Amino acid sequence: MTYPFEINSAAVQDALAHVADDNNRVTIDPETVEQDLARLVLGLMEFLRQLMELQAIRQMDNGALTDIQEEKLGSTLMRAEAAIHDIAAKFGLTPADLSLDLGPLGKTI
Amino acid sequence: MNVLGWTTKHGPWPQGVSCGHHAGLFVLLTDADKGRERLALQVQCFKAEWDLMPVAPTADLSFLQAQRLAEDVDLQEQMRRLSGMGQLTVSLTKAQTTLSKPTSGRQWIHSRKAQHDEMLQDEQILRSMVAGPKTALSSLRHQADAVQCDLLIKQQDVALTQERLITQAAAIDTSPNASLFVTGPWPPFGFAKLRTDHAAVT
Amino acid sequence: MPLELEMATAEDAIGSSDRRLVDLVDGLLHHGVVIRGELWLTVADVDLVFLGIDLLLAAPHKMRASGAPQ
Repeated sequence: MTYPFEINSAAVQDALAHVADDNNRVTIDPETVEQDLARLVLGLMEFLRQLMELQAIRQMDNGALTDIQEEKLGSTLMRAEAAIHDIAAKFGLTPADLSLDLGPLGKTI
Repeated sequence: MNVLGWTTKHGPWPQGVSCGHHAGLFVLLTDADKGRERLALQVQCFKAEWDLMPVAPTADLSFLQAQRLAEDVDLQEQMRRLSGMGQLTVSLTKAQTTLSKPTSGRQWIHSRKAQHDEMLQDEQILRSMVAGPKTALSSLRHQADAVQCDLLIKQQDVALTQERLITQAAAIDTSPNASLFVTGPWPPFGFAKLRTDHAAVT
Repeated sequence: MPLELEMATAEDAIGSSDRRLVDLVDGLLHHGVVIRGELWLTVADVDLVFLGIDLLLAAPHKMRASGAPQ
Protein backbone atom coordinates (compact mmCIF):
# COMPACT_ATOMS: atom_id res chain seq x y z
CA MET A 1 0.00 0.00 0.00
CA THR A 2 1.23 3.51 -0.70
CA TYR A 3 0.12 6.61 1.13
CA PRO A 4 0.03 10.01 -0.48
CA PHE A 5 2.25 12.67 1.01
CA GLU A 6 -0.27 15.48 0.78
CA ILE A 7 -1.74 16.62 4.06
CA ASN A 8 -5.40 17.43 4.17
CA SER A 9 -4.88 20.69 6.04
CA ALA A 10 -8.63 21.32 6.27
CA ALA A 11 -8.92 18.07 8.25
CA VAL A 12 -6.07 19.11 10.55
CA GLN A 13 -7.67 22.47 11.18
CA ASP A 14 -11.04 20.85 11.77
CA ALA A 15 -9.40 18.51 14.25
CA LEU A 16 -7.77 21.39 16.09
CA ALA A 17 -11.01 23.35 16.00
CA HIS A 18 -12.45 20.70 18.32
CA VAL A 19 -10.58 22.33 21.19
CA ALA A 20 -12.16 25.68 20.33
CA ASP A 21 -15.80 26.72 20.50
CA ASP A 22 -18.02 27.32 17.52
CA ASN A 23 -16.55 30.72 16.80
CA ASN A 24 -13.05 29.29 16.71
CA ARG A 25 -12.40 30.90 20.04
CA VAL A 26 -10.67 29.27 22.96
CA THR A 27 -12.37 31.33 25.61
CA ILE A 28 -10.28 31.51 28.74
CA ASP A 29 -12.59 32.42 31.58
CA PRO A 30 -11.09 33.74 34.85
CA GLU A 31 -13.32 31.28 36.74
CA THR A 32 -12.22 28.24 34.72
CA VAL A 33 -8.79 29.28 33.49
CA GLU A 34 -7.13 26.01 34.59
CA GLN A 35 -9.70 23.88 32.80
CA ASP A 36 -9.65 25.98 29.64
CA LEU A 37 -5.88 25.89 29.34
CA ALA A 38 -5.85 22.17 30.14
CA ARG A 39 -8.36 21.51 27.37
CA LEU A 40 -6.18 23.35 24.87
CA VAL A 41 -2.92 21.68 25.87
CA LEU A 42 -4.32 18.19 26.49
CA GLY A 43 -6.31 18.37 23.24
CA LEU A 44 -3.08 18.97 21.34
CA MET A 45 -1.26 16.25 23.30
CA GLU A 46 -3.99 13.72 22.59
CA PHE A 47 -4.01 14.78 18.94
CA LEU A 48 -0.29 14.01 18.64
CA ARG A 49 -0.64 10.77 20.62
CA GLN A 50 -3.38 9.58 18.25
CA LEU A 51 -1.21 10.44 15.27
CA MET A 52 1.58 8.30 16.74
CA GLU A 53 -0.88 5.45 17.36
CA LEU A 54 -2.09 5.59 13.75
CA GLN A 55 1.47 5.65 12.49
CA ALA A 56 2.32 2.63 14.67
CA ILE A 57 -0.68 0.72 13.28
CA ARG A 58 0.43 1.60 9.78
CA GLN A 59 3.89 0.19 10.42
CA MET A 60 2.30 -2.97 11.84
CA ASP A 61 0.31 -3.24 8.59
CA ASN A 62 3.58 -3.07 6.69
CA GLY A 63 5.07 -5.79 8.89
CA ALA A 64 7.85 -3.41 9.84
CA LEU A 65 7.79 -4.05 13.60
CA THR A 66 9.22 -6.87 15.72
CA ASP A 67 7.24 -8.32 18.62
CA ILE A 68 9.47 -6.45 21.06
CA GLN A 69 8.95 -3.16 19.24
CA GLU A 70 5.18 -3.76 19.23
CA GLU A 71 5.26 -4.39 22.98
CA LYS A 72 7.27 -1.23 23.66
CA LEU A 73 5.19 0.97 21.35
CA GLY A 74 1.95 -0.50 22.68
CA SER A 75 2.77 -0.08 26.35
CA THR A 76 4.15 3.46 25.81
CA LEU A 77 1.11 4.66 23.85
CA MET A 78 -1.22 2.92 26.30
CA ARG A 79 0.43 4.64 29.28
CA ALA A 80 0.50 7.98 27.45
CA GLU A 81 -3.24 7.69 26.86
CA ALA A 82 -3.89 6.76 30.49
CA ALA A 83 -1.72 9.68 31.67
CA ILE A 84 -3.54 12.18 29.42
CA HIS A 85 -6.92 10.88 30.60
CA ASP A 86 -5.80 11.05 34.25
CA ILE A 87 -4.65 14.65 33.93
CA ALA A 88 -7.82 15.51 32.00
CA ALA A 89 -9.96 14.00 34.78
CA LYS A 90 -8.17 16.19 37.35
CA PHE A 91 -9.38 19.23 35.40
CA GLY A 92 -12.90 17.82 35.12
CA LEU A 93 -12.44 16.94 31.44
CA THR A 94 -13.65 13.69 29.89
CA PRO A 95 -11.84 11.89 27.06
CA ALA A 96 -14.67 13.07 24.80
CA ASP A 97 -13.68 16.69 25.56
CA LEU A 98 -10.35 15.95 23.89
CA SER A 99 -11.68 13.72 21.15
CA LEU A 100 -10.60 14.26 17.59
CA ASP A 101 -11.79 12.82 14.32
CA LEU A 102 -8.61 11.37 12.88
CA GLY A 103 -10.38 8.96 10.57
CA PRO A 104 -9.93 10.75 7.26
CA LEU A 105 -6.76 12.45 8.48
CA GLY A 106 -5.20 9.12 9.29
CA LYS A 107 -5.41 8.20 5.65
CA THR A 108 -3.83 11.38 4.38
CA ILE A 109 -0.56 11.18 6.29
CA MET B 1 -30.08 38.67 15.35
CA ASN B 2 -28.24 35.73 13.87
CA VAL B 3 -28.04 34.64 10.28
CA LEU B 4 -29.59 31.34 9.12
CA GLY B 5 -28.39 31.56 5.54
CA TRP B 6 -28.78 33.16 2.13
CA THR B 7 -31.40 32.57 -0.55
CA THR B 8 -32.43 34.00 -3.92
CA LYS B 9 -36.16 33.47 -3.26
CA HIS B 10 -38.73 35.77 -1.65
CA GLY B 11 -40.28 33.28 0.73
CA PRO B 12 -42.76 33.40 2.50
CA TRP B 13 -40.68 32.41 5.50
CA PRO B 14 -41.88 30.70 8.67
CA GLN B 15 -42.62 32.54 11.89
CA GLY B 16 -39.49 33.61 13.74
CA VAL B 17 -37.56 34.30 10.53
CA SER B 18 -36.98 37.78 9.16
CA CYS B 19 -35.34 38.77 5.95
CA GLY B 20 -32.71 41.32 4.90
CA HIS B 21 -31.49 42.11 1.41
CA HIS B 22 -27.94 42.69 0.17
CA ALA B 23 -26.01 42.28 -3.08
CA GLY B 24 -28.97 40.63 -4.81
CA LEU B 25 -29.41 38.01 -2.10
CA PHE B 26 -31.86 37.63 0.75
CA VAL B 27 -30.30 37.08 4.16
CA LEU B 28 -32.52 35.09 6.55
CA LEU B 29 -32.29 36.10 10.21
CA THR B 30 -33.65 34.87 13.52
CA ASP B 31 -33.65 35.70 17.21
CA ALA B 32 -33.55 32.01 18.16
CA ASP B 33 -30.33 31.39 20.04
CA LYS B 34 -30.19 27.61 20.38
CA GLY B 35 -28.47 25.66 17.59
CA ARG B 36 -31.28 23.16 17.47
CA GLU B 37 -33.99 25.88 17.11
CA ARG B 38 -32.01 27.51 14.32
CA LEU B 39 -31.57 24.16 12.61
CA ALA B 40 -35.33 23.54 12.77
CA LEU B 41 -35.98 26.97 11.18
CA GLN B 42 -33.36 26.31 8.51
CA VAL B 43 -35.07 23.04 7.64
CA GLN B 44 -38.43 24.86 7.31
CA CYS B 45 -36.94 27.59 5.12
CA PHE B 46 -35.12 25.04 3.03
CA LYS B 47 -38.21 22.91 2.43
CA ALA B 48 -40.20 25.96 1.28
CA GLU B 49 -37.99 26.69 -1.75
CA TRP B 50 -35.04 24.24 -1.85
CA ASP B 51 -32.83 27.26 -2.16
CA LEU B 52 -30.92 27.89 1.07
CA MET B 53 -27.21 28.35 1.55
CA PRO B 54 -27.06 27.42 5.23
CA VAL B 55 -24.86 28.92 7.92
CA ALA B 56 -23.61 26.48 10.57
CA PRO B 57 -26.42 26.77 13.17
CA THR B 58 -23.96 27.42 16.01
CA ALA B 59 -21.79 29.90 14.10
CA ASP B 60 -23.45 33.13 15.37
CA LEU B 61 -22.90 34.95 12.10
CA SER B 62 -24.01 38.61 12.24
CA PHE B 63 -26.01 40.38 9.54
CA LEU B 64 -22.95 42.54 8.81
CA GLN B 65 -20.76 39.49 8.25
CA ALA B 66 -23.47 37.92 6.09
CA GLN B 67 -23.66 41.10 3.98
CA ARG B 68 -19.92 41.02 3.44
CA LEU B 69 -20.06 37.35 2.47
CA ALA B 70 -22.99 38.03 0.09
CA GLU B 71 -20.59 40.12 -2.01
CA ASP B 72 -18.25 37.15 -2.25
CA VAL B 73 -18.21 35.57 -5.72
CA ASP B 74 -17.33 32.23 -4.15
CA LEU B 75 -20.55 32.28 -2.11
CA GLN B 76 -22.64 33.22 -5.15
CA GLU B 77 -20.99 30.47 -7.19
CA GLN B 78 -21.68 27.90 -4.48
CA MET B 79 -25.31 29.02 -4.25
CA ARG B 80 -25.79 28.49 -7.97
CA ARG B 81 -24.33 25.01 -7.61
CA LEU B 82 -26.45 24.07 -4.57
CA SER B 83 -29.79 25.52 -5.74
CA GLY B 84 -32.47 22.81 -5.93
CA MET B 85 -30.26 20.43 -3.96
CA GLY B 86 -30.47 18.95 -0.50
CA GLN B 87 -28.49 16.41 1.45
CA LEU B 88 -29.24 13.03 2.93
CA THR B 89 -27.10 12.02 5.89
CA VAL B 90 -26.21 8.34 5.89
CA SER B 91 -24.85 6.94 9.14
CA LEU B 92 -23.59 3.40 9.71
CA THR B 93 -23.89 2.68 13.42
CA LYS B 94 -22.38 -0.23 15.32
CA ALA B 95 -23.40 -1.38 18.77
CA GLN B 96 -20.27 -1.06 20.94
CA THR B 97 -18.63 -4.27 22.00
CA THR B 98 -16.84 -4.16 25.32
CA LEU B 99 -13.22 -5.13 25.08
CA SER B 100 -11.38 -7.03 27.77
CA LYS B 101 -8.71 -4.98 29.50
CA PRO B 102 -5.36 -5.51 27.78
CA THR B 103 -2.61 -7.03 29.89
CA SER B 104 0.34 -6.17 27.66
CA GLY B 105 1.39 -3.37 25.36
CA ARG B 106 1.34 -5.73 22.42
CA GLN B 107 -2.21 -6.82 23.19
CA TRP B 108 -3.24 -3.16 23.52
CA ILE B 109 -1.81 -2.06 20.17
CA HIS B 110 -3.29 -5.15 18.50
CA SER B 111 -6.75 -4.39 19.88
CA ARG B 112 -6.38 -0.81 18.58
CA LYS B 113 -5.35 -2.16 15.21
CA ALA B 114 -8.41 -4.44 15.23
CA GLN B 115 -10.64 -1.41 15.96
CA HIS B 116 -8.92 0.53 13.21
CA ASP B 117 -9.38 -2.33 10.72
CA GLU B 118 -13.03 -2.60 11.67
CA MET B 119 -13.43 1.14 11.09
CA LEU B 120 -11.94 0.74 7.62
CA GLN B 121 -14.38 -2.11 6.92
CA ASP B 122 -17.31 0.04 8.04
CA GLU B 123 -16.06 2.81 5.77
CA GLN B 124 -15.98 0.31 2.94
CA ILE B 125 -19.59 -0.76 3.58
CA LEU B 126 -20.72 2.87 3.76
CA ARG B 127 -18.88 3.75 0.57
CA SER B 128 -20.47 0.83 -1.28
CA MET B 129 -23.91 1.88 0.01
CA VAL B 130 -23.54 5.41 -1.32
CA ALA B 131 -21.76 4.47 -4.53
CA GLY B 132 -24.87 5.01 -6.70
CA PRO B 133 -25.98 8.17 -8.48
CA LYS B 134 -25.57 11.35 -6.48
CA THR B 135 -24.26 14.79 -7.21
CA ALA B 136 -21.54 14.85 -4.56
CA LEU B 137 -20.37 13.01 -1.46
CA SER B 138 -18.97 14.64 1.66
CA SER B 139 -15.88 13.31 3.38
CA LEU B 140 -16.56 10.60 5.95
CA ARG B 141 -17.03 11.64 9.60
CA HIS B 142 -16.24 9.38 12.51
CA GLN B 143 -17.92 9.13 15.86
CA ALA B 144 -17.27 6.66 18.65
CA ASP B 145 -19.71 4.11 17.28
CA ALA B 146 -20.62 5.41 13.84
CA VAL B 147 -19.25 6.52 10.53
CA GLN B 148 -21.32 8.89 8.42
CA CYS B 149 -21.37 11.00 5.30
CA ASP B 150 -23.68 13.33 3.39
CA LEU B 151 -25.04 12.84 -0.12
CA LEU B 152 -25.86 15.87 -2.22
CA ILE B 153 -29.04 15.14 -4.15
CA LYS B 154 -31.39 16.96 -6.53
CA GLN B 155 -34.86 17.52 -5.12
CA GLN B 156 -36.47 15.26 -7.74
CA ASP B 157 -34.02 12.40 -7.02
CA VAL B 158 -34.58 12.12 -3.26
CA ALA B 159 -37.32 9.45 -3.28
CA LEU B 160 -35.44 7.36 -5.82
CA THR B 161 -32.22 7.53 -3.81
CA GLN B 162 -34.04 6.48 -0.63
CA GLU B 163 -35.55 3.49 -2.42
CA ARG B 164 -32.16 2.49 -3.80
CA LEU B 165 -30.60 2.62 -0.32
CA ILE B 166 -33.35 0.34 1.01
CA THR B 167 -32.75 -2.17 -1.80
CA GLN B 168 -28.99 -2.09 -1.28
CA ALA B 169 -29.21 -2.48 2.49
CA ALA B 170 -31.33 -5.60 2.03
CA ALA B 171 -28.69 -7.06 -0.29
CA ILE B 172 -25.71 -6.41 1.99
CA ASP B 173 -24.46 -9.13 4.27
CA THR B 174 -23.20 -7.70 7.54
CA SER B 175 -22.90 -8.33 11.26
CA PRO B 176 -26.17 -8.16 13.23
CA ASN B 177 -25.04 -5.23 15.43
CA ALA B 178 -24.84 -2.79 12.50
CA SER B 179 -27.62 -0.50 11.35
CA LEU B 180 -27.94 2.30 8.84
CA PHE B 181 -29.70 5.61 9.47
CA VAL B 182 -30.77 7.67 6.49
CA THR B 183 -31.91 11.11 7.55
CA GLY B 184 -33.11 14.07 5.55
CA PRO B 185 -33.43 15.79 3.27
CA TRP B 186 -31.64 18.64 5.04
CA PRO B 187 -30.25 21.90 3.71
CA PRO B 188 -26.90 21.09 2.06
CA PHE B 189 -24.82 21.75 5.20
CA GLY B 190 -21.98 19.44 4.26
CA PHE B 191 -21.45 21.16 0.91
CA ALA B 192 -21.67 24.83 1.95
CA LYS B 193 -18.10 25.75 2.69
CA LEU B 194 -16.33 29.07 2.82
CA ARG B 195 -12.86 29.50 4.19
CA THR B 196 -11.28 32.73 5.26
CA ASP B 197 -7.81 33.28 3.99
CA HIS B 198 -5.09 33.78 6.59
CA ALA B 199 -3.80 36.64 4.52
CA ALA B 200 -7.20 38.30 4.58
CA VAL B 201 -7.28 38.29 8.36
CA THR B 202 -4.00 40.04 9.06
CA MET C 1 -27.64 -10.89 7.63
CA PRO C 2 -29.06 -7.85 5.76
CA LEU C 3 -28.23 -4.37 6.98
CA GLU C 4 -31.04 -2.91 9.07
CA LEU C 5 -32.08 0.49 7.72
CA GLU C 6 -34.05 3.29 9.35
CA MET C 7 -35.29 6.41 7.58
CA ALA C 8 -36.05 9.67 9.32
CA THR C 9 -37.03 13.09 8.05
CA ALA C 10 -35.08 16.13 9.22
CA GLU C 11 -38.00 17.09 11.49
CA ASP C 12 -38.10 13.59 13.04
CA ALA C 13 -34.39 13.77 13.82
CA ILE C 14 -34.53 17.25 15.37
CA GLY C 15 -37.44 16.26 17.62
CA SER C 16 -36.09 12.82 18.47
CA SER C 17 -34.60 11.68 21.75
CA ASP C 18 -33.02 8.59 20.16
CA ARG C 19 -29.36 8.98 21.11
CA ARG C 20 -28.09 8.01 17.67
CA LEU C 21 -30.30 10.59 15.98
CA VAL C 22 -29.35 13.18 18.62
CA ASP C 23 -25.67 12.56 17.83
CA LEU C 24 -26.43 12.98 14.17
CA VAL C 25 -28.23 16.30 14.70
CA ASP C 26 -25.48 17.57 17.02
CA GLY C 27 -22.90 16.61 14.42
CA LEU C 28 -24.76 18.71 11.87
CA LEU C 29 -24.84 21.87 13.98
CA HIS C 30 -21.23 22.64 13.14
CA HIS C 31 -21.65 22.32 9.40
CA GLY C 32 -22.64 24.86 6.82
CA VAL C 33 -20.93 28.16 6.13
CA VAL C 34 -18.58 28.83 9.00
CA ILE C 35 -15.48 30.91 9.26
CA ARG C 36 -12.66 28.59 10.10
CA GLY C 37 -8.98 27.97 9.74
CA GLU C 38 -8.21 30.37 12.53
CA LEU C 39 -8.14 30.22 16.30
CA TRP C 40 -8.37 33.03 18.84
CA LEU C 41 -7.36 33.00 22.46
CA THR C 42 -9.87 35.15 24.25
CA VAL C 43 -10.05 36.44 27.82
CA ALA C 44 -12.98 38.51 29.09
CA ASP C 45 -14.25 38.94 25.52
CA VAL C 46 -10.89 40.43 24.52
CA ASP C 47 -9.14 38.61 21.70
CA LEU C 48 -5.53 38.33 22.79
CA VAL C 49 -3.77 35.92 20.50
CA PHE C 50 -4.55 34.80 16.98
CA LEU C 51 -3.31 31.39 15.89
CA GLY C 52 -3.13 30.70 12.19
CA ILE C 53 -2.01 27.13 12.33
CA ASP C 54 -0.26 25.51 9.41
CA LEU C 55 1.01 22.07 10.17
CA LEU C 56 3.28 19.86 8.17
CA LEU C 57 2.84 16.25 9.15
CA ALA C 58 4.65 13.45 7.42
CA ALA C 59 5.73 9.88 7.90
CA PRO C 60 9.46 9.77 8.74
CA HIS C 61 10.51 7.87 5.64
CA LYS C 62 8.96 10.52 3.42
CA MET C 63 11.03 13.24 5.05
CA ARG C 64 14.22 11.19 4.82
CA ALA C 65 13.56 10.35 1.19
CA SER C 66 13.37 14.04 0.37
CA GLY C 67 16.88 14.56 1.67
CA ALA C 68 16.00 16.26 4.95
CA PRO C 69 18.63 15.83 7.69
CA GLN C 70 18.07 12.86 9.96
